[in-house]
Amino acid sequence: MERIKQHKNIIWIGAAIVALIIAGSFIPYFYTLDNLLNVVRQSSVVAICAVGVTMVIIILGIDLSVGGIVSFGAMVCGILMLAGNNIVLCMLAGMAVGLAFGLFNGFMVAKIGVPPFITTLVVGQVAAGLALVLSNGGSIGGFPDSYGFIGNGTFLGVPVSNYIMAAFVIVGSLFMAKTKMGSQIYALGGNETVVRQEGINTNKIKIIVYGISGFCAACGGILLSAQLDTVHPIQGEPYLLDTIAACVIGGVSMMGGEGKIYLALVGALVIGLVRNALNMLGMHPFYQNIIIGAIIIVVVAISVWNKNKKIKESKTF
Amino acid sequence: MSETILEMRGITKYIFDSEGIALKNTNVKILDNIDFNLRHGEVHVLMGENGAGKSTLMKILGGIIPPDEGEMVLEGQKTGFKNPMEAKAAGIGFIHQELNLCQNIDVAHNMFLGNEIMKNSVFMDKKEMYQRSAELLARIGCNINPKTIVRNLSTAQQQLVEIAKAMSYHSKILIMDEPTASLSQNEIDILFNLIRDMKGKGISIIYISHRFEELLEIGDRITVLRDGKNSGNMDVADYDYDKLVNMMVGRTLEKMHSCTHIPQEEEVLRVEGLKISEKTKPIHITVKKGEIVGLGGLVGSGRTELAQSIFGARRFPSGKVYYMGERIKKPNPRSSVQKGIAYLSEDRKLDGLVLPMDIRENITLAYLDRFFKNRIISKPREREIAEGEARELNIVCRSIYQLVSTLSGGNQQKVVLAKWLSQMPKLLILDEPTRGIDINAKAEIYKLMDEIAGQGVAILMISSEMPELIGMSDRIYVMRGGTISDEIDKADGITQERILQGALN
Repeated sequence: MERIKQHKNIIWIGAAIVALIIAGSFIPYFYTLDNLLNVVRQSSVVAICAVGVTMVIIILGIDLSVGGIVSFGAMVCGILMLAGNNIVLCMLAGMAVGLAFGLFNGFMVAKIGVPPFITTLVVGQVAAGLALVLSNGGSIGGFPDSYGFIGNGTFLGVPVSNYIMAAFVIVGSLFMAKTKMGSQIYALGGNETVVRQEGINTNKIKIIVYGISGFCAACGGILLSAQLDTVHPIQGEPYLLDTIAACVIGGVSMMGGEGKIYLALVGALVIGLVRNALNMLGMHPFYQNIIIGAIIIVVVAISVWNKNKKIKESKTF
Repeated sequence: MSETILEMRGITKYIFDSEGIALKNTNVKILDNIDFNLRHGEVHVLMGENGAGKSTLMKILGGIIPPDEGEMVLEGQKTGFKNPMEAKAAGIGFIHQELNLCQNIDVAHNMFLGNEIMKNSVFMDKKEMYQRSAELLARIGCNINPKTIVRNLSTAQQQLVEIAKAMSYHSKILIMDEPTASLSQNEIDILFNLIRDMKGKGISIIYISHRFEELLEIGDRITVLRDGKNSGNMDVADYDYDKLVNMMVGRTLEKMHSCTHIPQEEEVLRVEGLKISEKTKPIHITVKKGEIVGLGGLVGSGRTELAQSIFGARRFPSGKVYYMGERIKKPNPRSSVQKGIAYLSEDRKLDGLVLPMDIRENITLAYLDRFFKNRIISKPREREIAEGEARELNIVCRSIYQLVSTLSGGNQQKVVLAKWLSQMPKLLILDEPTRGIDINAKAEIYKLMDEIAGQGVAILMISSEMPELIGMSDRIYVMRGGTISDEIDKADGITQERILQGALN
């Protein structure tokens, strides 16, 4: 019971899932195992991006460069691949680019003191622009089969994408829960002054966290291009909204210091289910964004309202 | 009891300008050639008014800021700390007034923050961390579960966690900055027992406090700072109240708080049955014309909430507010200002001043209507008023176009006062009017309050400083637990003991 109280958002996630189950029962094929595995597969890119963004939000930052980096990381990887390079090296190159952009975000925030939303917004635009330049504005595709296997292949009946996503979530969760830096990330989100006074290099932590976020976004982008067998320079764009929605629905506090990566995964799955249900109902993707946006606003409003209520109640004389 | 563990000699800290460059050629110094020594296993009480330099001296000892001149000798070795970590490593623990814990993580993670116990090169050994935390807490007789999130602990419990944390680095000296400021009597007893216990183990404690009864209970020696100078030491065994007050204030209280105003009979404010929250008891108070009414009590007793309710900055569940004989149905700040009620908030930086604006703009901000002519601000008129107020209040500034953020605390407070006084209020609510400002500015503000009251303005003053409360008030209401617990008239004799009794019991 205590645990449930601690994560009040679980109740909301539970409610959302119940609502989806009820809604789903009106949609044929919604409940087939294939469809649910497919939902997980479609959520994998969002979930991977959310691993990094969760950490950023925990340290009271925000990463708006996710969309641009998803496109650009994949574009770098794709173009190198079409030039006939080794697939693994191409993927590493794409990831390195994402990491570099993320580290740059962190540097600007930590060392220069630029507000995170400005830095990351601009960096995201630059990354998206570079993706357009690299591909001359068109899309590229026709990648080797082994690359497609990462995105669309299955292993023991489960999509490979799902294993990759699980690996990111597990490593991210362990990092946050069990390592020194993970626990310092939470502390930093709670009270930066205290952390600095303990002799911890807070700038280093910030730069690394933004670096991780950029890296995750690039990995998500590469996975997406493998799933679609194509890279379009603006295909990462929708992933910014979904990633932040996943974090928020997963209960990552916008006030910093609180949030769990596995809950962000649940958030990503909730969005995946909503999108899937809307798709099956034949709703156009444009309208879907409106609904996802409305969900974010409602969830944030409820959590802020709850917090304010708690502050009011805890005030004793 | 015996040999000296720490000596600070000739510590000097200059005031600095807005760019942080020390100004060495002025007479005003934050710390002026201070000598301070601490013996093994003693509780050394450091006293002085706000702004006397206690915190600065302790920050130097704790390695948070460097001194400009002077030296420190710790256990016979000359030392100097570049940062708090070095001070900590040398055995100096610092329990800050505003507690230094991350509220969002658990006790054990706080205790080992930056010093985590590792199982291997990747993972922490959480089990060991919880066990060691429990041991450290048990050593100071405290049985908090180290897995508790700090947010869910009371202030007193958080303080115990901080002490346990300081003990974990084998601190030899423990600095405690007003540790009892927000504790209940019961919690204070627990803390004092702990202090005696640590003293018995040879730990030296520097204890900053304003409370006289505390220094008698646990202090061994007293050092008083005044205006950045060491104004004297005293053994608690030779305690003499008058001498100590003289050391602290440097002039007699009556002179500093000399009042000439005479309260009139007409009631300006009457509050009937106001409840500041659903669960608290109703409040009845009155303030008369030309009267200064003090509102005493501990921080968090509901004083600010009452003031905000009257002014309309806060909603209250029930009760009636009468102003000049008329009931104000639903007070709100805008109509209050128009009716002549002024409210000086507790934190001038937070909601009293707009720091990036200049003095003139700040003074005229609250009643811009008066300078509007056809929707355009009349600059000459605005300047005229602002200059007049600045002169009258003796605001030390280059011109009225100087940014408020570059003024000293005392002068900022005067700007806030000017802002409200320029609209001729009939009721002035002051929330901690002299917090954090130097003694001279304080004296000026007291003089000003007396003058304003003499002109017939009713003043309701919230204050945590006893001398101020006792010296300035014609009447005092003491608050506790969100309601009024006592009313003391000047004629009946206001004493510190009676105020404390109302505030604590």
